[in-house]
Amino acid sequence: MSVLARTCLTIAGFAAFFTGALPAEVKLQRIVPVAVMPGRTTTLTCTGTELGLARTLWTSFPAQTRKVSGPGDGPNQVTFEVTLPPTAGLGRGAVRVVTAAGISNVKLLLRDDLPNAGMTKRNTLVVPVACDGVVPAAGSSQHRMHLKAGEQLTVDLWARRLGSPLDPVVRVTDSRGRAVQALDDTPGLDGDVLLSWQVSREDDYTISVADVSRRGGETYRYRLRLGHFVPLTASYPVFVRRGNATTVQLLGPSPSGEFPSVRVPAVATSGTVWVSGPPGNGGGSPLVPVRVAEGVETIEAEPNDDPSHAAVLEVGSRVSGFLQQAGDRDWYQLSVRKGQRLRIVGQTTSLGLPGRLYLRLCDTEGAKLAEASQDTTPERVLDYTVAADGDVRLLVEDLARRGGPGYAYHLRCTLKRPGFDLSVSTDRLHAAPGRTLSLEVLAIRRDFKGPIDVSVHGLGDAVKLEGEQVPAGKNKTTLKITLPEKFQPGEIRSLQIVGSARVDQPSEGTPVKELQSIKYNRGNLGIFDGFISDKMGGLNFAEYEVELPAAGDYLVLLKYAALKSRVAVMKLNGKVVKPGIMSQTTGSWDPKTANWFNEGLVRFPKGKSVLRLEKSGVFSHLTMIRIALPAKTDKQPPQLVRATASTSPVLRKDLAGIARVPAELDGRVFLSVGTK
Amino acid sequence: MKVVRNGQPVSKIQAASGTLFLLLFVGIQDCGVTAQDVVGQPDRLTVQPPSVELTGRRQRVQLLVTGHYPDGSRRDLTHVAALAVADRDVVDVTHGRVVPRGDGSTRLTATAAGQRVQVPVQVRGFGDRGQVSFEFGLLAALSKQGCNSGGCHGAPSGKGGFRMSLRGYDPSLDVQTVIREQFGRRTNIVDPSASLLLRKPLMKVAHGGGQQLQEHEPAYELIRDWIAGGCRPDPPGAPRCIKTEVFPQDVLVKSPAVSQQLRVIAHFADGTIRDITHLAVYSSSDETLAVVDKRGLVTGTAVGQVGILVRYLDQMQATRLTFLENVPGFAWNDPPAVNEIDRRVFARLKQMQIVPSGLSSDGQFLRRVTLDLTGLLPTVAGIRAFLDDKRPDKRARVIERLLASEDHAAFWATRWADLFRVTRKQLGSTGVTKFHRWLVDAVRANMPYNQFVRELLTAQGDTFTVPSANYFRAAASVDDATETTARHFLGIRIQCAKCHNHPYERWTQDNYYGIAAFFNRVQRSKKDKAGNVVVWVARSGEMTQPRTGARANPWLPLRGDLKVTDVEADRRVALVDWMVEEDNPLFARVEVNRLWSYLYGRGVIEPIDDFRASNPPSNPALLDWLADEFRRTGFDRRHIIRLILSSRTYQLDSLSTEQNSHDRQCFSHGLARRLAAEQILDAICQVSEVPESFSGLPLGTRAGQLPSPEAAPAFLQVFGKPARETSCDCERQTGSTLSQHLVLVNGSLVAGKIGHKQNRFRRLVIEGKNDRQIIEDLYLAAYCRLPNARELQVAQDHIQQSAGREQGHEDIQWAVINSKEFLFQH
Repeated sequence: MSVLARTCLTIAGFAAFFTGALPAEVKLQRIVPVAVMPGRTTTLTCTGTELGLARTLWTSFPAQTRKVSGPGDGPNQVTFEVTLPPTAGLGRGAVRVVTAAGISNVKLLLRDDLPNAGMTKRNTLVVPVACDGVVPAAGSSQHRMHLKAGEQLTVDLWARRLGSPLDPVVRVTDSRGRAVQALDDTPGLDGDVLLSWQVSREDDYTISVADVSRRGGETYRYRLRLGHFVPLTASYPVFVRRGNATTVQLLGPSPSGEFPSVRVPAVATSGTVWVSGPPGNGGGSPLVPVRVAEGVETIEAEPNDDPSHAAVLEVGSRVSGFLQQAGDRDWYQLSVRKGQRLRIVGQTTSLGLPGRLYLRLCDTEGAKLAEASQDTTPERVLDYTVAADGDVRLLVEDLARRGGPGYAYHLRCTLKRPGFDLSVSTDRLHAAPGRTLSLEVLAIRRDFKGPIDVSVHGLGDAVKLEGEQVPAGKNKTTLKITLPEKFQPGEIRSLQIVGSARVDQPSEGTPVKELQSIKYNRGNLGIFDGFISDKMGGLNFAEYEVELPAAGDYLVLLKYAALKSRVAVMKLNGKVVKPGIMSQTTGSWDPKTANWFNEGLVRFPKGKSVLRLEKSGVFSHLTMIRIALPAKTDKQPPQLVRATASTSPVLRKDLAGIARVPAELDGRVFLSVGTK
Repeated sequence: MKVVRNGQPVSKIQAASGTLFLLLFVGIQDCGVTAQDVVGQPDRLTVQPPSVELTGRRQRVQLLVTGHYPDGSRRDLTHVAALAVADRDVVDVTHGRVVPRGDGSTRLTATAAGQRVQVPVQVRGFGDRGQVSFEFGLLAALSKQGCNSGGCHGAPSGKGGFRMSLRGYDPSLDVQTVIREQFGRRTNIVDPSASLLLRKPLMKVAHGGGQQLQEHEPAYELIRDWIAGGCRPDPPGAPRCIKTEVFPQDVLVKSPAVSQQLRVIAHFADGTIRDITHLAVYSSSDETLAVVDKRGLVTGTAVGQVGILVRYLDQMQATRLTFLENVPGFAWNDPPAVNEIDRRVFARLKQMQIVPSGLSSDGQFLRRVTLDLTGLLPTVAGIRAFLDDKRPDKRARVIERLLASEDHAAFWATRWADLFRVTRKQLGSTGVTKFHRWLVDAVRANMPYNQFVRELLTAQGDTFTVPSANYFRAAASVDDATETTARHFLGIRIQCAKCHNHPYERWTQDNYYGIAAFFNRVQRSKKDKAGNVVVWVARSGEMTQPRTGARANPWLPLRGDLKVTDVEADRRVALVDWMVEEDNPLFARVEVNRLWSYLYGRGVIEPIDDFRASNPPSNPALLDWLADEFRRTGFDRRHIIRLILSSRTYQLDSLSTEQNSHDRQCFSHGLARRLAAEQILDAICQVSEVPESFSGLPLGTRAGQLPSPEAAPAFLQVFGKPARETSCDCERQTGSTLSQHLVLVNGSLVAGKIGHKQNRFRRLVIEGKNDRQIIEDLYLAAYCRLPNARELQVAQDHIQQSAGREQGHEDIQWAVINSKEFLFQH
């Protein structure tokens, strides 16, 4: 090792000691090609910075990798040979370059069964084939091919799904320049394009790929797959159960309505497994992600097109459903108990399925209780706090009442429970044995304020940790990890940062005070028939003077009606104690539908306090306020809640803001052990 | 017997009758045209109505006397025929208006040039004063006198403390203000003629609005009798006026005739029909072509076509009149028609006795069609190839090539982007990109127009993955969506009807909210961090008419209330279904008119988004045929564009002749117009070969490709590129301003291009081209023609006399860029 290299490593290790994170300069910017083929050895050229000390290539899939000498290799380029067994599965995978100075960021590639035509400009392609391309700024890249009449051509363009900044627009023109096909986005593919059509006339055709914003350049890369396979994007059932082999039907924008079935082998972990559909004539298969989850996945039982034939939906269940034709409505019935906080999540595009769901919860008379919000998030979420024991019905239909082959959806019915999510600030660590790393762990809490214990899985027992708890009421801890001396330089470890906590939600005990909302001591909220609400814009508020016999934690409960969520703020003696109260809905603004909602514990001083509820603009229809002691004993013991820290924010940044971070990559933090 | 004086000069007749009769009629140079000239030698006369029945003392009937001539033509002789009444104790007749004098029967005789026709007349109930209707008598009379117009008491705050609803659209309000307000001081039942309601407009007491009423006018009698009758509002269930009719319709007025009397009748719900010619309010669509007086007499002042709007409270009707003259020495040159467009345009020109210009030169055509389709100038190589091409179908070939070009898609998408307010402010950066791309794709793929509109108007979803939903992001409220949709796809400017009944059309406030009910359920989510928004349609929610508080049902123009069968359905679908129906009279016409206007510089109807009965097409047959063809071909815009461009009409020379220079309506020659802002900038870049860079966009982007105006430099704003603040074609400024000249003459942009070290002429210098070659290249690039000998000589002389060769070429390039021939499309 040269003096210079040693110096670099020393500096890198020194920096890691203080920051805990990999020096930023070990960067993988691109790999060429962005695909490897089963049964073949593919030479991958990796370009970036500080790659001169590269040792190997980490892959998320089984493969043999070997560093080789390639033309132009140096500090900013390294070449590997990657060999996949002939039986290797197809789909998306990830790679990282492992160097003596650390491990690089992640890059995505395909395990593809289409032969790679390499980079082309105006070379004529022979279908089936795949090639990589780069889109120039203010222009397009073009691929020519000769197609015969009757040929069914599928164009499968991967860009956003591979972490490219390119938002592709694909256009196919004939030899006279007439547009034959054009597409910007295929539903469920994060902006990528998958289209298929039958060629009506033998001719020379050109596929043009451009960026929707006319941007381009070296990083605007894509992989173009051309074949005769059926275009498929999702599976039905939408999820398969972890550990069970399952036969699924594959769905997608198939013009022929052909949806083949495939057998998904038992998968050990939740997340995503890739399957390939039947190859097209001459080779080339559709690549489809299948979601794997815990728990039983049930299939919608038809007929359930009207409330009287509603299918049973249980709290805690997961259902794959189908909107069989335009205008199809699916009804479900749930048995619920008063006070339950239902959360029903409907998914389509986030699973590669077309359409956008409309969800409505009704009582058995058909009166609307709640609707799922229509916002820009990929999932439709319906929250409802149950007012009384009994049955409720759920209507599921497409927002625009579309339906037909391929219009599948997924429902998940759960109860909203207190808990938390964690994330970490990096997905790569590098340090020498005996050194200490720092890692910031962030918590997002859900109705839970208690301490969260943080542990590291994958380092063994010899590791020393500091800061392994997110304190109660705090949202962050800096985790310090001291590596054992026995770790070997060059060793790569995959870690998981796991948080756990005992979570309980105190239930209401003895009421201490009950106030009519309209009898506020100070305020500007409008007083109506038994409730208060806004009567003007600007900051609306109501203040209540409350005198309590003793200091302590009291539950504050509010009774209100709301068609839409109007989140307000609770202050006690001038300080914010609950920033997100009155977030629930009751299906109507009518105060007759008002429900009690537990807003959680608030620490009151002894004697007089001022409880203030405030919100800018519109305000839910508040009828009553109750202050109660928490129940001394709860029937349910505190529940142990665990969560693995997500690395999605880091991965998303490294993958050009990819819409959906590959689930199989999330939660893994890589540690590369350096030399002392 | 009273006889209308016959045989007098027309001007004297009109002067004597006290009407506004302008003898400015183009072509009637001899103001001594006499009534005898007008009458001529008719075969026969007819009178409408053929018999007259008058009930009550306030009823009037307007006669129409028509002469029928051997050539099949007709002339209105109402004011020049002799009208005689056998018994003047029964009726009197003045200006063709029959006024009752007493009960009984008599006979009225119309005579002209030896022809005569008799009309039986009967009067009943003359002694019964009856009750004057508040709405259809009093309010109609006040409307006739202009009392409740927007400039007077119909203004939102009224005038002089007296407020009425605009043109009587809200009778319940008028009951309050006319009868009850100010303790009823405006009326005097004991002495009706002493009422302020009469004394003010008579100027017997001070009146800010001046004298608006005379005692001999029918309105006076109506107002007075309504007051005398006790100032009563109409009882519940009183018959309402359900429609009006105007006679005659679609009239050809050919010299020596210059006028046409109108007759208006009203149908009431109880089955009665009344002549309301004396109560109707008239207005002309173009007073430079024809004027109309209070009695309904339309008088032409120039050759052309006008619409006359006839309003009776909330009922609107219109009739179309075409004024023609005999042009001395007119000889039709019978130009060859390429397609049906030419046949219909030439038929109109022949009728109007206008001889079209000749065919444009190849260079003129190529420049015109390239600018129209792509917003760009043709390349020098392309011009040379086109000029050298000897194939007879070379014009058709270039049309096809341009229609298939990417430049065409980008340039024509800009027109939609203007209308749909594609701006970062409205849609966010990604929204702009996505929606603009969708528009470009739609043009490129020639998406059928019915599908295009359906995808726009029924869009739901997030605006990144459903770009057409951005339509409802820009049209961000129910009102905006209502007005934008009505304007662009139905040619209806309905925004006036939001607050009151439309003053110039039949649309009422109820209609406005009926259309709004289609968009009432459209919801928009809050914008997320990326700038994305979800547009969706709620399953419930009704529109309320704010004036009445009543629920406004979805209402289809010219069709009526929508029959709602599925209460949760997206009502916009029903609206689009109706729009694209075969018999929808607006949808196809509006779009083909828009296409015509984009290509010709003027619509068959102008303004292109103002379709109304009182704004008739300049060539109805042409518009009808284009619309039929549009529907027949599945709303194929490119087919219509191709037809227009292929027509001889489009390809006519823009140089007018002495015979057609006055024509602005009939498409007798190409219309020269200033290039649009983007065209000018791109043309300067093309001619100089120095591209412009735009903030935040890749180099190589042209002005005509800008997705939103935020990236536009000040140069484009000076030349009128719209900021897309409003959803109107009119936001694009096409006129000339001093700023534009200063920018071109002294501005840094032009100077930068001319002085650029790698511009066109410097490239040619490096390539060893001589001055003549460089000048020819410049002329071809800028004008699509070679310089003539004089131009070439002047340019060469200037270069030789300049301080240096480059200086000389810079001057020539500057002069070309500043020339009208460069800055105009012709």
